[in-house]
Amino acid sequence: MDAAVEARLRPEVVHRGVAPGIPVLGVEDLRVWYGAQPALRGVTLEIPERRITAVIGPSGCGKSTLVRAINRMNELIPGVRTEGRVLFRGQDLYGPGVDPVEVRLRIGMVFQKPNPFPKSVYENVAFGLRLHRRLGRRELDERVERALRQAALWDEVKDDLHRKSGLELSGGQQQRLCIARALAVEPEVLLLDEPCSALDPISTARIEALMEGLKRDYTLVIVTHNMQQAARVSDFTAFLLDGELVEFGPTEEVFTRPRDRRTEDYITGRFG
Amino acid sequence: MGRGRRAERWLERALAASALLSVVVTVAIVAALAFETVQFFRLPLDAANPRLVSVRADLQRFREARPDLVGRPRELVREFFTETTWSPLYSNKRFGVLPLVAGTVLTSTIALGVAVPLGLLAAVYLSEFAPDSVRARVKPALEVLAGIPTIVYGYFALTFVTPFLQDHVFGSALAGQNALSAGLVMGIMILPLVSSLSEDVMRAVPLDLRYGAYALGATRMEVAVRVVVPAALSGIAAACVLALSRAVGETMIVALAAGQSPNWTANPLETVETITAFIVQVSLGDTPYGSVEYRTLFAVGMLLFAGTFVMNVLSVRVVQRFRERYL
Ligand SMILES: Nc1ncnc2c1ncn2[C@@H]1O[C@H](COP(=O)(O)OP(=O)(O)OP(=O)(O)O)[C@@H](O)[C@H]1O
Ligand SMILES: [Mg+2]
Repeated sequence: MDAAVEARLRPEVVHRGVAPGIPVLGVEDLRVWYGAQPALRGVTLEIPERRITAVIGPSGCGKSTLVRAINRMNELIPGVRTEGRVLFRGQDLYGPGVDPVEVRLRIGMVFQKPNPFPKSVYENVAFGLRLHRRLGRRELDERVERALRQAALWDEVKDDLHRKSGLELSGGQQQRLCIARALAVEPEVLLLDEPCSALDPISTARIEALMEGLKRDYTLVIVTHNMQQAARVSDFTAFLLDGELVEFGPTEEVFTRPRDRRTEDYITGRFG
Repeated sequence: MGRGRRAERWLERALAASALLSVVVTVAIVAALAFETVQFFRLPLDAANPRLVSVRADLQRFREARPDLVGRPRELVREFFTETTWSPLYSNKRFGVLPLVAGTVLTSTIALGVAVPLGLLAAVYLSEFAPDSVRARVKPALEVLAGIPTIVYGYFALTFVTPFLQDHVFGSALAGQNALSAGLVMGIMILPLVSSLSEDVMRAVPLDLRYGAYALGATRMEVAVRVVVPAALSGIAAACVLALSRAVGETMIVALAAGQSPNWTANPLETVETITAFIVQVSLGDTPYGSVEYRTLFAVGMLLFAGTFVMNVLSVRVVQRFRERYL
């Protein structure tokens, strides 16, 4: 990473030292349109450091749009317009002079459908590292191994790291590979957009356990359709409906004493 | 129901028959080529047969020109593949085919040197950078290049490119007919083959993969170079091989602009003759069936066929080794 950019983006505070629970991302009055159609109609919420925040809501309510707006992936879609602010450690990610490439480097993302590159397992994980730094063979090996261990995939792939294509793994392994790939560049925030929706219960359980462990070092945002999953893994929950934030709070409160009637209807399954 | 079944069975037979027909035609062509090629290498034997020689003037000429070959077909085979003088149409007959091979390799290499880099750049631009409106116009415009009759390219090379290069770059070092102009213009002709096919395969690379790379902080260029091109590599290689086959088989441009004198050289400024140009040269003259000249046609034709065939097979192998499969 370019030193000047690094200095601009990394604040004095070393993030690992900030107390968990303090907001790291502040979404302020975020509005997004696809063409003329609004998808987010003014969303404001704060995402706490080293906690898991779940985003729930019916299909089409704007969950994916919200997470993609946080790491500026939305603008890759033609015809998207964004207004409002996303503050990351106090800096507006949509401000002038902010490079979306740097944003995505610090705020990683895992997609609904596993999308490993058609390269070896090793090259998948090394991909981001090779883009941004010149690392020696040894260090690259170490970082790849560390990321694969973090993603609980190491033991399953260590014997043919170079021989096996990412596409030759099972769906659950592919998704963990995508998580490893994202972790390898050491982002501060990891966005997961329905990471388990294509997976069986065992793979899902593995990924949930994995997220629990990642919480010590990373801020996680997970979009999910699965209420049990949101309740099981998350510390905070945001409920979106039709592009608006209906409720946001500690998961336990949202699930046991929702303040809004619509939240209650949704989590109890009385909602369309 | 019975009628439907029967109609289906007939249809199936018709389909099988047409598939069979194309196989039969291919086999027939190869067989004819092989047969006539054998006739070429049998020349020394025919020239040793007094009954044949007495009635065939061309065999007599062959005997007179090359007494050393009479009765020694293996010697002809050796000469064909290893010697560097090709003059079957002259009284001093030499049958070393390497000058024609050199001419073909030289012009095709120049053509690929133009078409592959430019075509790939165009494909990357069109697939990854150009707005839809630009792509919608540029792509058909590029494809028009492939539709221009090759005779027009040939004259363009001969009457425009060569004089231009003589006046501004090489001076009199550049022959009036030369490998360079022919190769350059042929490169422009096959450029759309490379760009259009490569662009198609690059656009077929799933968007998911691109998003995956963007999410890791890749720039547009990095996505293009490190994800899209590698994932599309097999298609790109196929496009290049196709372009190479077109260049090797191209006739009009090289016949007009590269020349008709076999030349064992690697210098692109000189006049050369390609295998195809030689075939045109002989076919244009009146060549009696079965004559020495006639037989050389098939020998070099077979060489051309075998060369492109081996190239295609090899490229398939190479591509299978290096390609990234994403489906
Ligand atoms: N690429 C796009 N182009 C146009 N409209 C889009 C696009 N992506 C999303 N939308 C629209 O924006 C709205 C929000 O979509 P989004 O994908 O954010 O919903 P979601 O909550 O993630 O839904 P799901 O649970 O089905 O994934 C929807 O009405 C959708 O139709
Ligand atoms: Mg979604």
